[in-house]
Amino acid sequence: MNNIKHIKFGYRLFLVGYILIFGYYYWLGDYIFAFQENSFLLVWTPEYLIPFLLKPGGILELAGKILTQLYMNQFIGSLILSGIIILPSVLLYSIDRKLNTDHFVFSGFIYIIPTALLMLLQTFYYHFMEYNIGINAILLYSLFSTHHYKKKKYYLPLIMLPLFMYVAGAYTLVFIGTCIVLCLTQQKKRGILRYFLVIILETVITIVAFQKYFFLQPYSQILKFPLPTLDIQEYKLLLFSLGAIIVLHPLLLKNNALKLALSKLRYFQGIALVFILLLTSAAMYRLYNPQVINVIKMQKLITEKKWDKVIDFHENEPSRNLIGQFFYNIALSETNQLCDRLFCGQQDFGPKSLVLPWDNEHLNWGAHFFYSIGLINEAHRWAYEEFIVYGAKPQNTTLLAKTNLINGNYARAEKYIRLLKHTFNYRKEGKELEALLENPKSIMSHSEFKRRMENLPKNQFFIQVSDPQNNIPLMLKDNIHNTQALEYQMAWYLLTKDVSSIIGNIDAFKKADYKALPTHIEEAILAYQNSTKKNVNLSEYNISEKTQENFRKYVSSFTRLKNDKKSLQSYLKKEFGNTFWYYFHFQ
Amino acid sequence: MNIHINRFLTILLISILMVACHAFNEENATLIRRTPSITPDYKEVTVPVNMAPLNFVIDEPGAFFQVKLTGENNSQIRITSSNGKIKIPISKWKKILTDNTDGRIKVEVFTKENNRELKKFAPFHINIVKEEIDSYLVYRLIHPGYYNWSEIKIVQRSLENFKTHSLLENQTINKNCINCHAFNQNNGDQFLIHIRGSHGGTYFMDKDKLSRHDLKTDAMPGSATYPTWHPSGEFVAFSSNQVRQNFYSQRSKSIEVYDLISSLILYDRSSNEITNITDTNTATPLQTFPSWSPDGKYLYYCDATFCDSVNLAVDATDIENIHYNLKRRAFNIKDKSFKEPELIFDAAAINKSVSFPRISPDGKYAIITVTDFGTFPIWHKEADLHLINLENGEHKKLALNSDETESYHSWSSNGKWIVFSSKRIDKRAAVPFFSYFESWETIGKPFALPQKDPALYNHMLESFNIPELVRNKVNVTSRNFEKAVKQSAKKAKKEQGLENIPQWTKRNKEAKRSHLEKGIHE
Repeated sequence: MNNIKHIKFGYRLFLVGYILIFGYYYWLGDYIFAFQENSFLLVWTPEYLIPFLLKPGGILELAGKILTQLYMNQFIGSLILSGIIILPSVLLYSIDRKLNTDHFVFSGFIYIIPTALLMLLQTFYYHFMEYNIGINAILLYSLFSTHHYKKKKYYLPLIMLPLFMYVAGAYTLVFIGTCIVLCLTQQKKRGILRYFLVIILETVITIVAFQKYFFLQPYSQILKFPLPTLDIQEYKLLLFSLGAIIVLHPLLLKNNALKLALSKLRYFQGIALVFILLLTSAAMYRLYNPQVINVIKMQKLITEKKWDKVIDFHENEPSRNLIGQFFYNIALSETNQLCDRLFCGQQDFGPKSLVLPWDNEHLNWGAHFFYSIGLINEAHRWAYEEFIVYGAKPQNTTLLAKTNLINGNYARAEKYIRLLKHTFNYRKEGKELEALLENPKSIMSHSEFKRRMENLPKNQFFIQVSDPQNNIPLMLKDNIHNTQALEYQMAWYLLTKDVSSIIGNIDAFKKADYKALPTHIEEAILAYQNSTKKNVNLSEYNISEKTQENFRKYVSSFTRLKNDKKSLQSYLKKEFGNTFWYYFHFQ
Repeated sequence: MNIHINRFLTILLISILMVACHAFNEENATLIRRTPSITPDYKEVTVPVNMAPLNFVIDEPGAFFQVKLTGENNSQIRITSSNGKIKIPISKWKKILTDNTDGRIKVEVFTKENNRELKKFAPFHINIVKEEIDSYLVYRLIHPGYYNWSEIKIVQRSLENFKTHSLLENQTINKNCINCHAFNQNNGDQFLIHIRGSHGGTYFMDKDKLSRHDLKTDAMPGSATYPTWHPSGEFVAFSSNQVRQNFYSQRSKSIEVYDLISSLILYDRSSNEITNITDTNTATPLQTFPSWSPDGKYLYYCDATFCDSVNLAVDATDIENIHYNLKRRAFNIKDKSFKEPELIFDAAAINKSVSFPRISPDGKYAIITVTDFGTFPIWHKEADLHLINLENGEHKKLALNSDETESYHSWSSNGKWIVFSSKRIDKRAAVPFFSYFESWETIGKPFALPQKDPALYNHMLESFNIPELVRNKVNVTSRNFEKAVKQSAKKAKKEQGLENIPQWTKRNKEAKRSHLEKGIHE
């Protein structure tokens, strides 16, 4: 009777937990979905799927990748992730019931710990679905073993162990740890030692056999894959804690006397549960990094080519992150607003947020700049390097298809389009690109490709890899109508405060058929004239009344408050924070 | 009950047969005057009698396809398909090839779209010759990339069927980069492979024994790079290069790989000693791509003058001025000495550049890759294969070339087959093509390495790099390399008396960018 009451209470508690976790991921933690779905392209073709089967743990990894594809939909993603995160608690609970069939005592605070730890681990956006599945796989096999152990069918889990190792890879080793502890906690010692030795021996033989005869992986890979490899101190601490709970749980669960004693302290369990929930919430709050989350959200918008939303996002919730500001500048370039709106958004990194340097850290973002200015060969190279190092991702595969289309290499483009067509989430995009392939003339009139084809370099030069910004003048040399390159060049001067170079290149706007000078260029000219008292050749342009009026106000405010530096900056930031003048003086 | 079932099945079978007969009743077919479009293009090619089935895809609309192969002795194979992929059963293929050796087989293609008439295309032929090709092709499977790499394999493929066997996969050696492989005279028992990275070195395989060597000495400008085995097996000549790559801005070109410095060295395997072949000042000229004549009496190589390579700021125009000629030096095996260089092909005089000289087994011909300039033809769209008659100095462009890159090539051991890399399929990934070398005048139409899945080249992203024909199966696996990388590398000695050679230093200007040019696994 008491047991039934406990069981019902347990399931209700898990249900409440599931709903709460779902709510968190649906409303707050959705950045996980955007990041992880975009980090791998699962292609449903034999040549992409078979390699998963050729390594221990590959099936588990594949399962993770399949579920991650469903992250495209926030609701389904929340449903799945909440389920996977609450499942270890349910499994632990089920194992406990198997171990204590006679005197089962519900200990909510013990069961909730794995879920709490998994939620904390999941705040790291590189904690992929396969890791969660791995944790569940260990507990599922523990449950399977406990079930057969209770029925005295010791041999079944032993027989199935190599298969489990093939499916779950190195997670099996954690299970072995659990098994050892389980053996040690048994009161009936008879046969346990033999069981213990057999399982150790079988594990060693399986590993050796896998390495020697079945798979090409070295031992280091067999012993580690697909365990998480994230090298962050907090993450590792949480992971080891979770591992310790899983390995040691038979000790906790077996000690029914302790649990019974605890349950008799009426409020202890409730207090412990609330304490764990509070602790988890506090830790999640601490680990929650809104800046990183902003970048992930901006990346999603960039991928979807929602340029205006990227601009609004950054202007309303300024990113302090280099990549976030790089995305903002890309969106400005794509909408031809770089020299009109550059300082409407936060610019903390000077010209670094215009062009990312060539290194592996920026491999997945840097191509956007080259793609925007029409240096398609270099955009292709960055996308290709990422494709090689990190595998097919929606972003790099799409960019490879597009750059090959622009470069007229249709046979190669077709191969990347084929990959997109064989996915859950990018089939439509693949078909759209395929339609262009069938009618190559339509590429020239395509809204995205037309401008890039016009901006293609008109002269042959070696791309400057170590100083990528040096490619901009080379692009402009024989193509003065490449307005994206021109604005990047001018934005570079603005962000490096190189006003004289701006003054020296005003005629470039004339050559590029600008009807009026962009706002920030006007601002730079006024600042130059004011400080040097020299006349500037405006190449038949006029400075707009609005900018002139703004400048008068800026100068007046500056003069008025210059002795009170603190008020000066805060006032000017509020009134003129979106101007080149403010950037020039204060950043 | 059983009677009813049997009757039903009989009627069903007869109906299917009737439909099938109707669908492919040749008499009713509409004749199409042209040959069908197929990939890979195997029309009118010449194949050796021991070649694997030439599976292909019919690139014509249709819901039903049938191919009829008819030998000159009227032996026949019929293959039907619903998706246009024609996979020829290997045993039937072998038989029809054997029965029609030194003859040809006629290939007739029929297609039918739903509710439309049956079409019969004009037939094409496959010629069969008795001269066999070496049984194996060894190639490096790699993504044709820039700085980085991921999975690289050295694969041995049987040319008589579709079986492949990995000699080395870099996943077993910490993702190190696997470089050139080279066999001694198509002999699978004697070869070498370079590995770059934490397990770096040159690995020699000699009669089942795999050993690791470090061939870099102070007297060399770079590591040992492009190899060629002396037929005796006692020596290996290498070029030693400081290689750089730059990327082009315009879509017509992608990458330019060039040497800052390159010289030739000779490795004496018995004394473990490195000797310079190039004279001491190797900054000028650049010498690379050594290749022994099959009798071991000459070392052929490519030679270019690169003005003031130490101080030059390399740009696209500089590279366009580098032209390599084909030269050779007579070799005296007794004292390891080389005679003065002889100019074999003056490519610079016609504004061209030579790479990859390969001498035919009878020593009469050389096949070279000719580009407009430079030294790394795989990234040159205009790269073509040329044939030189070494007896009279005549040369000509081979008919097997396409508008895309033709680059690395090697001869079969009987000198009747050439394998070469071509990018004609997707302009980026190289695929091995074979051609029958009948004579100076006649070379067979090239055909792509046949695959079990004939659509493979339509979706495969990797390149087949450095295709080498090998007579016998190579008895080595990744497991052997896994052990070999644990050996400490045997350090080569530099030849006595070379102590005064200036130390090679990387140019200061290049030092800044050298770190950028490393892949992430280095």
